[in-house]
Amino acid sequence: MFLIALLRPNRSSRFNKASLPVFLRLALFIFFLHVLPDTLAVVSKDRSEQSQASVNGYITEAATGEAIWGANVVLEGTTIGVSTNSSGFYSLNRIPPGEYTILVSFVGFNEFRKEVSLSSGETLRLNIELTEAGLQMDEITVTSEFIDRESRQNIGVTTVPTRLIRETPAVLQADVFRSIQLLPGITSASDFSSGLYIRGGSPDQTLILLDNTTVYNPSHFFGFFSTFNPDAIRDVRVFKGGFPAEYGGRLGSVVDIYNKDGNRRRRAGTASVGLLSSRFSVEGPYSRGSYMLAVRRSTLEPLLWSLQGNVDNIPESFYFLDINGKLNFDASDTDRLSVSFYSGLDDVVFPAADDLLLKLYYGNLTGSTTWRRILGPGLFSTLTFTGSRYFNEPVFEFGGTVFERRNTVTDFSMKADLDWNISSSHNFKAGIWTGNVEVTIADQFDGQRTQQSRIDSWYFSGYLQDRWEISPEWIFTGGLRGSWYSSGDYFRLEPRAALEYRPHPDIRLQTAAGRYYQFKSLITNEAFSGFDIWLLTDDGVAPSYGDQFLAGVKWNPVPEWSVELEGFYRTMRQLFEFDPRIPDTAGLDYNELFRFGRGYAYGVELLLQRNTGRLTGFAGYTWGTSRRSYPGFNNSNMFPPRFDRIHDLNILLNYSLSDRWMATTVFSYGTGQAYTEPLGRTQIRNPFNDDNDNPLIVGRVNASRLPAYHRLDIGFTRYGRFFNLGDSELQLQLINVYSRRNVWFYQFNFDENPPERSAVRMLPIIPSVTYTVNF
Amino acid sequence: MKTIALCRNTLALTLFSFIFLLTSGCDPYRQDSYEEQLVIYGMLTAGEPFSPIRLTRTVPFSEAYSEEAAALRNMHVRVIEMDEDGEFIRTIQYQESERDPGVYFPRSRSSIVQGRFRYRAEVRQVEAAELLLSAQTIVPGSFELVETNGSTFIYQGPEQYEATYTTSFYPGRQNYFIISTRALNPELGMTPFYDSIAEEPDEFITVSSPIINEQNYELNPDGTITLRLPWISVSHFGISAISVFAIDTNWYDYQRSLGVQLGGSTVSPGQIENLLWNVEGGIGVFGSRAGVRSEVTILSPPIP
Repeated sequence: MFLIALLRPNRSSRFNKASLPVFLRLALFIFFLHVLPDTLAVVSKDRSEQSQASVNGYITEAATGEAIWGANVVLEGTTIGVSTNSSGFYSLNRIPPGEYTILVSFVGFNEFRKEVSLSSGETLRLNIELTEAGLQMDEITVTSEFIDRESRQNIGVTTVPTRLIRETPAVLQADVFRSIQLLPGITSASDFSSGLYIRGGSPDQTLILLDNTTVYNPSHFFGFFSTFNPDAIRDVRVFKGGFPAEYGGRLGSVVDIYNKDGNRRRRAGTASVGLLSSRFSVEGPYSRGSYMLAVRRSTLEPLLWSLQGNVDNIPESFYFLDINGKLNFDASDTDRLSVSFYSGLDDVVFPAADDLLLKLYYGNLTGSTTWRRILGPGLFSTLTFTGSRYFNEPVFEFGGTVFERRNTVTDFSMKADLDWNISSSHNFKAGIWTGNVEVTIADQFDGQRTQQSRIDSWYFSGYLQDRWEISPEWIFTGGLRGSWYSSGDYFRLEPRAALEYRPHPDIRLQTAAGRYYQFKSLITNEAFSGFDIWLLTDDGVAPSYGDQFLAGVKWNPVPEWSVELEGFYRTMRQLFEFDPRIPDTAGLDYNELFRFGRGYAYGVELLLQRNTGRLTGFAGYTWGTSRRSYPGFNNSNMFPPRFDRIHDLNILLNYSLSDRWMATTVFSYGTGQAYTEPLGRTQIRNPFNDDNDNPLIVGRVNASRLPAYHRLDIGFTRYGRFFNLGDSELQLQLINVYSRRNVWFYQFNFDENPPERSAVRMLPIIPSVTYTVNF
Repeated sequence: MKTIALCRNTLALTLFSFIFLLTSGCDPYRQDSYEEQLVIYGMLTAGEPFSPIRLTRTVPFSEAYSEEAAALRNMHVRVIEMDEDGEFIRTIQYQESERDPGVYFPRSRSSIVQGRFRYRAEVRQVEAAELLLSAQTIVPGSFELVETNGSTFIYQGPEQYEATYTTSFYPGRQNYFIISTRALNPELGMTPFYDSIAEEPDEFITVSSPIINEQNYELNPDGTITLRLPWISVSHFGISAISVFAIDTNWYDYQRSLGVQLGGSTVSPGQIENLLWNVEGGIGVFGSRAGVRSEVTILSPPIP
């Protein structure tokens, strides 16, 4: 209530810029709340609680000390239980004194049981280490972690284990987003795009977080790969929709990624050599914590050198680079500090023809400092300072004329979150996220400045969220988020709610609804992400908003199998996109740069998963529809965006051939993408260049479908040793086994009369070899 | 046990509904079919005689296009001239060319198009009152060349051709320009960039810029603007005619939407949208422009 009171000083839904100090006061309040544990001790420990006991601590992997997110902690024979947060922290409170057995479970790990005796007023710190199940099983019983069952407790949420990312056959190198694209409800635009199209939303509707820091352009190689190095990643959690109030800023979904903390048991590392890139990582403990450093760099140079001079249109130079690092410092029993950073870039120099040179240079730099603190029984706080910078500096030199662009997004913020297990039935969360984002664009053509703009915006968001376990069968999660941007002075409230009913321990019926706002928009191209530009709301450009409704059932009929069925409907309104019909922005007001549209999407997703045995894997199927509408386009009628897929099926199977060999296969099938079939044509004599223009006459936009997409990938992994220096993995993969030449789009040759249509096709069969040594 | 049975029934019902959706689910958004449309094309230039108007029909995409076969013949075509305020001034009657079917010329060749005036083209069937096609344009205001910084330049040398112009006028918006360069001595050869991308020797005789907003140029204190010719506008060595045109809204809409149809920078490949046609009863462009022409000689750089 205190937060609400602070959020409405003007009794108006529209804040003025003078309100900023209110937000700063709130930020300072949360900060001091974090710093002063005594304050929270008063808040969190009432008189009745003093006669009860509590247990809290961190749950980590025994082998590495890495935190486990989403592990279940319960007191056997009671209704007291929680899941660990992203730091691996848990807290069980208001426990009557007595003898208990604490049970910790997480898919892929052996259950942990320990008897504890709790006395009145006692707070027991119990840090628990879980051992991997596979390490103690015979060769036939394999537990998969494809899509973690525990984290599927919440509707719309999926955890993608790094093992899945590493083992899934992928073009040239393992990729986080390519693996995510296999989940039901998530599609890719093409073989060439790692962009995430989640539940009918475009990639900019997904918030990408790395260690709580926004990543603005998560792609390499013009969008072919995502920027996240699998060696450096600990957790990937995907909120496909209906995400709770603790997240915000996007209309559709959230991909929350955490870097590894680093091995707390021993020094370890990985060296990997692949066709496209090579990776090296090292991690280990030190006296007060752990560290991790991972580097990935493309290794295309030998290929380029061999092709240069023999093949046309080969880049003069081309590389991408990622560096991830993290340092953890255990300041005390209750305080943990971590510093994390990521730096990635793409650098291309491409002489496409005589007197035609393209230079592309873009990337991201992010950093965060996080202070996690156990403030009291059941009360955990996280304070994070983040910085994120996206830069994009293309240069085109053609015919002696130079075009240069400098586009940057600089975002500094502070996040503070409180996680409070008030009682066995209430888990309360509150937090703020405040900062400043600056977007600059400067264009120079032929030595003259043609565009220079800078939008600077303060932003603030705060949320309250409560998970209320009404009874063992019913759980309600409600929340409210408020967001404010100074550019345009917009304040919006976003209510969220989710309800779960458990008629049986193995069945969960769930539903969720919420409103979502987005204050940023991305200018991008599906085929090429090297020129991405972010734009902000401002005067005359109000934030996009949409509502989401979800309902689903999760069922574990037998331990080996799990089934999920989930339906969704979502709206999208006030979608502000750069108007593609604007040829030159000079002299136009900011709001004249956009077209404002609306849309909706709905669908049903089915996920079947086999979790144990020699054969494990999952099949995900989606039936969905997505539509958009913009005034003046397609007669202002709704049309399917290109990425709309009616049917989408992905099957991933792992088969353990022996203790040394594993076979993996992925089959994907999807309805052909939407495209526009030209119906007629005419000719217009262009009086400015004496050419004939060939305008096409079309009917409904994107009313035709390309041939269905399907592809089969297989891979084999051999586990072994590398000269007794460490374990090794040899991966042999074949992408697109039967070389299905899926159509990307059609192009037309107007030199022929009638014009000839030809298909631009996607990837043929591609072999891939990767050798990794873990030392 | 009752709860489990209820849940199983619910699940069965849900799965059944799901399978029903799969089997019956069809996309109601279907491709429509081709419909023929009438096309008008004309481009008036301020200070010049009235240009011809071409009338055609669209053809199905899969058929060969021939201007002669697509020609719309035996039409009654006229252009109504109005002043800046829209007051009627006169009517210019057109007649069909005997040599070029579908091409209509003004009966009086001495009439001159006036900058800032409005012109409305109307097409009817002969002997019929019903209006088939109509379109209106506002001609950009005429402007003049004030001065240039020279007439001969070395290709990609230290100095570029610059010309200073009085400003044009268009009601309700800034001026939009297109720069067109025509090589008058194409036999002297192409500049290296165009030479590397040309497939035919007579390509790129005339090249034009994309649409350029007036706000791209700095306004001089005396109210004039100075345009610098980028080297990319020079396709051939020798003398080139440099024409700077202010364009009307009809051509602006046509060209900017054509750019999107050809694969604009943010549109997904394969997503094609119709052009912006400011024509009633059909499609096409009845546009106008005002321009200034100058000449410049571009020399090949000396071989080091």
